[in-house]
Amino acid sequence: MSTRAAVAKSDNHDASQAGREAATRALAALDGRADLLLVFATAGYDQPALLAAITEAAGDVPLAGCSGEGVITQEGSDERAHAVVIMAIASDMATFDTFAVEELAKNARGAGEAIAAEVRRLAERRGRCLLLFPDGITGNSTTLLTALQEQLPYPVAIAGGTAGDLANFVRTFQYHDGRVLSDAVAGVLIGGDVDVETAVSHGCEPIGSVRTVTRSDGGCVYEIDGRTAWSVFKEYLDGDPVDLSAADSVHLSFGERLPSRSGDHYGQYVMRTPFSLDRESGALFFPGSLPQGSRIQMTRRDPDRIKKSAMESARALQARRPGERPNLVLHFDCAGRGRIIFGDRATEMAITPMQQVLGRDLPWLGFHTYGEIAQLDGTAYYHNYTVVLLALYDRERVHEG
Amino acid sequence: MKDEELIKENQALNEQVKLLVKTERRLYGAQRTIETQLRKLHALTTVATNAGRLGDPDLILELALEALLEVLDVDQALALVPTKGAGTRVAAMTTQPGCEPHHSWGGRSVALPRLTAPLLLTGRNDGGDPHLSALLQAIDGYFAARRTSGGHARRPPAVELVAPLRRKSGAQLGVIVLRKIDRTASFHETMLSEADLPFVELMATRIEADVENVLLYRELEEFAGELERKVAERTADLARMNGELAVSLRRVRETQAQLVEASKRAAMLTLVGGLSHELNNPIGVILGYAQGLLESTSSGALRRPLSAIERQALRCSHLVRALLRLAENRPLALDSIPPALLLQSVVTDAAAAAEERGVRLYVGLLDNDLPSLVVSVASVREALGQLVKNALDATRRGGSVTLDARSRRRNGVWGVELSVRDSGAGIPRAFLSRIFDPFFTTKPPGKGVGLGLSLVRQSVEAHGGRVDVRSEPGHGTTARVWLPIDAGVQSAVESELPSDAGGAP
Repeated sequence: MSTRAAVAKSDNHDASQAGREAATRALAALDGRADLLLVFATAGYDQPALLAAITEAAGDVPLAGCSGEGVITQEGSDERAHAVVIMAIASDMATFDTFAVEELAKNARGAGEAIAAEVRRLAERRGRCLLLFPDGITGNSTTLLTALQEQLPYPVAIAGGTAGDLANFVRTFQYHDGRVLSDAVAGVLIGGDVDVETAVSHGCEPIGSVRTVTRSDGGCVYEIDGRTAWSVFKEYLDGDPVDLSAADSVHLSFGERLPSRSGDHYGQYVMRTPFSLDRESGALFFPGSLPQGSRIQMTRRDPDRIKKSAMESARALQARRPGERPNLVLHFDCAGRGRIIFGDRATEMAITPMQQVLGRDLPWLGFHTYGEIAQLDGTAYYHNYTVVLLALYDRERVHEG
Repeated sequence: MKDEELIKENQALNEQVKLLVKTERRLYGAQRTIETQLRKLHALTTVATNAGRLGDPDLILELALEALLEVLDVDQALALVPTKGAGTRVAAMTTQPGCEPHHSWGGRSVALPRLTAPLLLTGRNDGGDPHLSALLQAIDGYFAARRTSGGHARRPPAVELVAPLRRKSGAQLGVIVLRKIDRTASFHETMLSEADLPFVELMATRIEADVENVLLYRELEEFAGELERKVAERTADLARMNGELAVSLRRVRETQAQLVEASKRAAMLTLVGGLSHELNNPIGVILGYAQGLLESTSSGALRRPLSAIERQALRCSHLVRALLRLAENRPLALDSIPPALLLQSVVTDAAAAAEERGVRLYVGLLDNDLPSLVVSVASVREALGQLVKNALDATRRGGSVTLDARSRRRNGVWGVELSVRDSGAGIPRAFLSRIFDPFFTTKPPGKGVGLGLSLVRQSVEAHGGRVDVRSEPGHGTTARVWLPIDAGVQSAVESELPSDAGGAP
């Protein structure tokens, strides 16, 4: 049996009904057998009730996922407060080992090391891919990824997205088996006779002069070019705002220059979005971290570039396995690339075109993230404003093809 | 110096970029605002476009609620309308999935609050309006979730909006209630706020106009229906009265005609009676002398004129007797006689004449259970004999005259219809109306005086019966005599037979 996947969605406002509906439908499409459930839901739900209903319907199937700003399926993106999507995967080719590490804010490095240890522990699984769903508003995902990659026993594809809430930046949720966690990273190690391909792109345009981070501590950036980070950022905002709004932080961000990057479709900047402001010090907090001395440039989102680079990602993914059909596609898309920029046309502008390239009938699951995790030149980075696509293929198919 | 210029130019460009970014940001904001307004406009247009063909206030309300639910990010929307019993019913309701009601509507006896404008309520600040408070509590109960441990989770929503609906007359049409259960909304969803009141009021106005149209149309239809029903009733009354009038007029005409006829006949019979008496004596004298002279003379020269005098005197005498009979109004001497026997006696009377003419005369196949008639047998037998005589006269050699009898009910009275049917030449249509007139005859001079059918009619009518004649030239003639079973107690109403019906003269 090859790897099979089925996706189901519910927008029922009642958490229990929604969880039961989505889980039952996804499992029914696989004749009741599943080896992994990937679950993404918006944060309007009573999260424990949602997970309880899913596990009640699905039994003890390993489960990983998180809350998102929105959810994505072949039907498009849904950024309402009540929507849950589930992908059930059944496979004799792949192995699925779910995990979760808590206290991300307190020790992001430790979390990365713990995940690496888990991969080592599961060495016999021949891990192919790590899917990571960290809390999107606590901790430092860059530190997490750095520590993880330093201690991984062997190279493995890394992709994922950070959990979101309703753009309130108050509390996000990570799902591990039957548990609902916060300030944690949930994930799954996919191993076995499968391959994955990933692609990432953003849609931002550098503006203004190149600047330097002159004082920072982890994700907390105090000064840029010797001025408070907030005063630099505020120069591009209308009026004299006293706080950082979500709308402003998705409109503008900083691009961190990666000197080693070649000039492919991604470009030389990895996006860094400020999530919060310390009004007293004028410091901005970036979950992706901006080390002191980083060369940065302000960037603005560009709808045309978002569409164009997303299509390039889908085509790049397809080009790596010409003529092959993935068993499933995972899709992690920044919350700032959906309705907030495309309004009611978010699906038709930014989601459907990629699905048309890779296949409108593929099992397709994703969510709108607070940050994305994807590799560039073999190294996993924490990104903002990007779309990450992951396609999974059975190895036999590769040989047959 | 050149570096300073470049720095300045760079700073100017940076400022321009900042300005452009701010402008772009404003444009994004404007786009979202326009999008929201377009959604609202679309909702209003959808209702305006589709409400007209729904033709049902509840369906219009449902359509509007669905549009409101779509645009305003609410969980529950319902329309409540007053019932005849001063209570309230849910006319339409729509919810987000998972927000459906769990109970039947418990506000049947709750009166609608009298609001003048849409009202936004947060934390259930109903302003102390007892009607509004009662209504909102009824709605809470309607949607209250069932708890597995029993009881219900009845909690007010985070925010709700109540909008009144009125008719043009000012009468209360209902209220719309929009509810957002809790404050969890995504970045792209908006909580109900004061800013939504104008749009809801606009939608309410739209609903009011559409429902008003439907109700006006219904009222117009009802009025038109009532009008049609009244017109139909009056038309029926008129038709009935016209019918009654026509019957009355016909009866008046018939009665008048009968009166005139009776008067004419009475006058004529008086004249005939008087004249007959006056003629009877001289004719008797003439006849007596003529017969005396014939007995006493043997002169051939005298006998021939005397015989002529005697023959003509006898003829005059017969005529006078006939006229006297016509003028007579003698009481009937009634006897019971079976119709078959009556007809057979008539056949016997006329058998010789029929044989002489070479005409077959017989009684047809009669029913065994024919009732006997109570009549003046002699009078009826004479009348039937007259009809047979006429029939024989009208029938050529080889033809036939048939007598029949059958039971027949006329105007609620049972009787027996006796008929004399011949196979003769028939009576011309122009003569049919006159055949019962005295002295009307189609026979050659000397063959009849035209009193036969007059005497028949007089005899039949004296029994409360009716006589008529039907004839088709070339297809013979049938004379029908209907007599009540018991002429002594006959109560026949006025005959509806054509008054101009006649018999073979």
